Amino acid sequence: MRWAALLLLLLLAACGGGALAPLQPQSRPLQVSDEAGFWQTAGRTEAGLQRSPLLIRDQELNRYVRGVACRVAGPYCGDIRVYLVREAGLNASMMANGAMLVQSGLLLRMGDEAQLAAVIAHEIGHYVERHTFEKAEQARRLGDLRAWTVLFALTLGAPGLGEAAEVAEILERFAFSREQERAADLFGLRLMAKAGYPPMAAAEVWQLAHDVRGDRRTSLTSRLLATHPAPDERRDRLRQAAAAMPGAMAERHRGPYRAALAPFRSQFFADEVRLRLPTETLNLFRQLEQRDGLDAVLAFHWGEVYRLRGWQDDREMALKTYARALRLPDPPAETHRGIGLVRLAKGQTRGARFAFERYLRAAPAADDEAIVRSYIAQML
Amino acid sequence: MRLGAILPLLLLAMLAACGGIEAVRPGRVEIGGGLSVQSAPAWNRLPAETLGADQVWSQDGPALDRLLFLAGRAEGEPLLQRSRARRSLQFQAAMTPTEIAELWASELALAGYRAVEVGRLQPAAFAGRNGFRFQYAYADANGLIFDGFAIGTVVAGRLYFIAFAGTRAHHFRAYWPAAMQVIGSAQIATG
Repeated sequence: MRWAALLLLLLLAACGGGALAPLQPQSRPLQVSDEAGFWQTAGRTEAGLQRSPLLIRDQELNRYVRGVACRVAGPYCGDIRVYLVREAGLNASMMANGAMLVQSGLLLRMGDEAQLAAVIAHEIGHYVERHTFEKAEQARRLGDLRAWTVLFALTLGAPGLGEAAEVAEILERFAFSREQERAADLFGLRLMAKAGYPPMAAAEVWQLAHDVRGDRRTSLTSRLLATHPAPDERRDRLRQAAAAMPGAMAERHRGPYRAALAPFRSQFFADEVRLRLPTETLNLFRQLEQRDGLDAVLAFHWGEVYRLRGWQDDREMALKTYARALRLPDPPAETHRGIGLVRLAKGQTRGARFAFERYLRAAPAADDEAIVRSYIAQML
Repeated sequence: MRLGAILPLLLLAMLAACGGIEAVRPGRVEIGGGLSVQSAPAWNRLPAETLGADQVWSQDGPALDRLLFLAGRAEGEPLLQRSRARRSLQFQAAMTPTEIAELWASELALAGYRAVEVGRLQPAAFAGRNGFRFQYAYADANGLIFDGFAIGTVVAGRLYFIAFAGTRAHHFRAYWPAAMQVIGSAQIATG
């Protein structure tokens, strides 16, 4: 009976707020509203972000990504500001006021402009549907309800009911967050179709996230306490929804995307490798090779993952992968240094010396030139 | 004994147990593992195990400047104790300075710092032995940029290493001479 009462109360609370009306282009919340407070907080965060050393300030790349955002945002173009941040990992986020963060790790993982547009469109969905404010309102409603239920439970002399209300509140908050993600996914699909991008690209993004993460089985608890639906669930839902939409053959703009990203790939790869998550990074690299083919920059960093991991066969794998890099056009000079370090570790001093000398010939102004010369000198 | 007399003693004992920040006393300081340095005025020692180093000194607090000491890391040990679980972050006695600098960059990245850069790696004398030095930089969670300088040597398979970092805006330059004074005084006594 008590459980039934609690469930009823929770249901009432969850339904109580109703969805907020979407933001209209160029609209702002009333200055005296609660929502305006969220905008002000976001504004302060955005001001800090504008001064952040992590911001990628390259004009060309920013112009390109903002162009994609504007195209997909349509009438909301003037409301969205995109900030590119140097940080490994697949992530993007949206603030209440239309300031969007896109991590460099996400740029590295997208295969073409359509996939980037899918992520941006999803984030615009959070903005237009006022998810930050909606989530806060939901939290407030649930908090009120929990407080009343606890009071009610104490009056009845049933403390267990109060505890159950607290658990139910937590679960509901996470479930609500997942619902918002699903809503933003579908909103993004519609924006993509309108902007002339193939909606199926959105499902591909989650396929990539699923593949890199691996086929991880998650417990019921972790699923209930997740802020986002699982990648495979999102992929399947998006695939199904995209199949019913026009634009399957729309242009993906792969060339311009690859060209815009090319000057930064090596740095972004290095940021991933430095985190020393070899299994995830190797998964990612395999995905990228499968999708885009192997180029010398990718092969070099792939070799670096093996060299740094240092498991039983990793030295051999590193040498093989560096060798592949050297057979491709424009291998990074550091490929020779990597070979030198592996050969040195294997006690192959002649081969190490040869590789280090090639490194110094390929990069005579390298800032580690003196230390590499010292390695060579020790082998003489 | 009256309570009034016991209370200050109890408080002192509690503070000592907390292992708070204390001024580094003038004179020669044993860091551990045979590494010792000459202290200079204005350095404070942070509680043991701060940041996973053997000792951490600071002038204005570790959020602004820090001088970290690693005194004799042995084969298989992580540079910073917090990363013990990660096999790929363990020090190996046969590592080259390039690999040690890479390890340091990974430690910083795993500590949550972003835009980590390491450069200008070169041979250097440290504690009268052949060693290496390099510069590094990173941004913390608040977006503050830090510059850093590290110097080290491997003696009998053990890594001795001192790293100094401070905010680019002020602390690195301001305390660089004091940090170099400490680094320049380093001695390694091996058994």
